[in-house]
Amino acid sequence: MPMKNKSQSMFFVIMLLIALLIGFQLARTGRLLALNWFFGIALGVVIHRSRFCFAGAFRDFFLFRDAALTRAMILVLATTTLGFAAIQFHAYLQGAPIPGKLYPAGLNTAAGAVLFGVGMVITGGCACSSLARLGEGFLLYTITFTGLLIGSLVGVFHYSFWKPILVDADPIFLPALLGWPAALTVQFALFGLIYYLVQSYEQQSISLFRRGSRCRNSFWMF
Amino acid sequence: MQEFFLDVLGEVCPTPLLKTQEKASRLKPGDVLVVETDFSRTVRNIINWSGKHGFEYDIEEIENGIWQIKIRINQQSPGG
Repeated sequence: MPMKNKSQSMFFVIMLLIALLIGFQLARTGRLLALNWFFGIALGVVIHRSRFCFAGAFRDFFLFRDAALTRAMILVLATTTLGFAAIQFHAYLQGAPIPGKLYPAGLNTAAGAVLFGVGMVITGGCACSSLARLGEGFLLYTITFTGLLIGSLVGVFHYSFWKPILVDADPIFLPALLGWPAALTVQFALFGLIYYLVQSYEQQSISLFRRGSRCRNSFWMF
Repeated sequence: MQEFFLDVLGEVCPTPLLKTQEKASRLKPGDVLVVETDFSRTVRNIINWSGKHGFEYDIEEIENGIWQIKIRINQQSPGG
């Protein structure tokens, strides 16, 4: 079969230059804007290279007993817990209001999660991975992304109807409830437990089959 | 020993791996299954799945964004 692999390094250089130009332009209006821009691009590269997918973290685990993404997601959550705890504790020490999106959780959260989960599996990805796949050039995701935009818009329009019915409670903030050390301990203990359960469930299925497959060049190409 | 081809171009997860599993379950040990996909996540899924079953595999990017994964079924596939 003839190789039709075209080098894309030219496009890479052009896009990199455009990204840098926009970044420097943004830096003139606000340093934070430029930081957001470069951080967003870096995050995109990581999601692209790692083929990360929130939907896959659940889908692959339950469907194929493949826990690679599930473990990655637990690590992401643990890392963000550390980061957010540091930022929030800093604000707490200074007596400032606690930053972060603290919303009340309830059955509405679970119902919404189920709806969103069904949508993710049908369309093939979560919000961030849809964006990443769209960026990779998978055109199907233009439809997914349009749907995501329409859904969010509709949600915004009738949010005021649901708010007094469903989300009119005080949010639970673990550190305020248990104190900082206990809250962090509980959170990390839960992460550890879930990681262990996921790992052992996957190992069970591996030991059923012969282990240690060999392959050529897959590591560098993927 | 025979070589089989599975075209899952345009399919998104989890369909490609489900089709691969289904096809592999009907192959005999020694057969080779070539899966062609343009979905990057699928390549990872199939690598993980092959690794778990101890199948040998090889990946080739035959065109920008299109991958062929060659899987050697070296034992009776238990499915799953």
